[in-house]
Amino acid sequence: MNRNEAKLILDVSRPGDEAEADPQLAEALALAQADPELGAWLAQERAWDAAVRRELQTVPVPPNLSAQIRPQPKIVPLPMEEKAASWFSLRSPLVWAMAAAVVLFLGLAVNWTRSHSGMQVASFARDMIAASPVDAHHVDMLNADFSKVKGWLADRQAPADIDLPPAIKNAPGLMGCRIMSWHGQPVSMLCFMMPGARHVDLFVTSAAQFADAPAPGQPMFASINQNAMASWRVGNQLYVLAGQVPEEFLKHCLAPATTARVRDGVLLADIF
Amino acid sequence: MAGQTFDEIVDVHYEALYRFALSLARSEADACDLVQQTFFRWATKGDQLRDISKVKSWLFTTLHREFLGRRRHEDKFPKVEISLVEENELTAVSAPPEQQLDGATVMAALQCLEEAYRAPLALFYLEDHSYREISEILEVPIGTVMSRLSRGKALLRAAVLQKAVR
Repeated sequence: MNRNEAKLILDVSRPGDEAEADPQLAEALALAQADPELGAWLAQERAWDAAVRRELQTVPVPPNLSAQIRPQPKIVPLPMEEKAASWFSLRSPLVWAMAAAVVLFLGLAVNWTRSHSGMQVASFARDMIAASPVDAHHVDMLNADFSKVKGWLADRQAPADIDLPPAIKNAPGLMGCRIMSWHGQPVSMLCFMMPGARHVDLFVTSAAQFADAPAPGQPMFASINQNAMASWRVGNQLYVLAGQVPEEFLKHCLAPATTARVRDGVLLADIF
Repeated sequence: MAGQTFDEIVDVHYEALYRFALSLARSEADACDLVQQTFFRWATKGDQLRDISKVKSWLFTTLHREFLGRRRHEDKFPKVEISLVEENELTAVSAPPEQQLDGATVMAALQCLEEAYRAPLALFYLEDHSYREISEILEVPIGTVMSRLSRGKALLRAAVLQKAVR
């Protein structure tokens, strides 16, 4: 190893890298100890590096950034046409994931739906999943308060008589909502970030338009790989819960109150 | 997430991610957007990370990919080329006194460099990543990282000196 080769290695090393037992670095350091000129150069370089490192750490961070990263607890009503909170400005990877879900649901639709007349739940699910992230915004309103979300939906004539399964209702995961439309019918979409950072969306619309809506008390599940969806019916409302989560997770989400694993407001965190 | 909540991960990493994003995007608003998008990715995809000790690398890699994706689509950041400085000139430049440095000057100098140098330098200085870690985050070969770091450090020093004497 000559001096220039040693310089290149030493130049990109940091104090403490010696512990990584890199033989090339060890050789370069030995050369620096034996070569006063190289040793002086190394000392100067490391002093410079330390100064740059120290000064860059002083670059101020916007004081509100930390809060912006987290969902806001207050109502932020936004016009439908405007871009919603930037936290939800979805870009391509999620769109790709949802596109994959669409492909899966196309396949699922063949086996899942027995009736060939009327609107089909699988088509509804497919369209909702595809539409929710593709738009510029994911939710119209950020709010973690379920009663306020329902009020906001009701004010806009969207399905608001929403009966959440106890496990979802008791988990602190509601992020916000959005009003969508399917074949002229309003659809309420509720976004949840469940424990374990599991993102699921709940779509609620009138069940009357579906020929194959699940019977009350008989939820249906479908899943392939990491994509899962559940659909069920309460009264005249159809519910579709979907996300890139294990099917088992959705089953726990739909568990009745007596078996839902909710502890101190934390749902399923000990399971997944 | 193996003992670390979303909030805890935000608390630990958001400042370093912001400074990295600022060095790349060269605008506070874009940097904030990149950081938010990175944490959204974490919230929606983080459960796929098997080795929880890789959270930091995952976040930096994701932010860098996000930046590259946006740059491809928008190409809105004009480059200020200073790579024409000759190697001989660089070796002749002596280190400026430490008291001449300040965070704003160093960040401004860093932002003047080409992105090929900016990203590895930011990781090297801001988060004290080793060149091996930088290689993983930027997804480029180790040899490339080493040469970009070495060259980039020389360019950064020249840029800082240039700004300091103005």
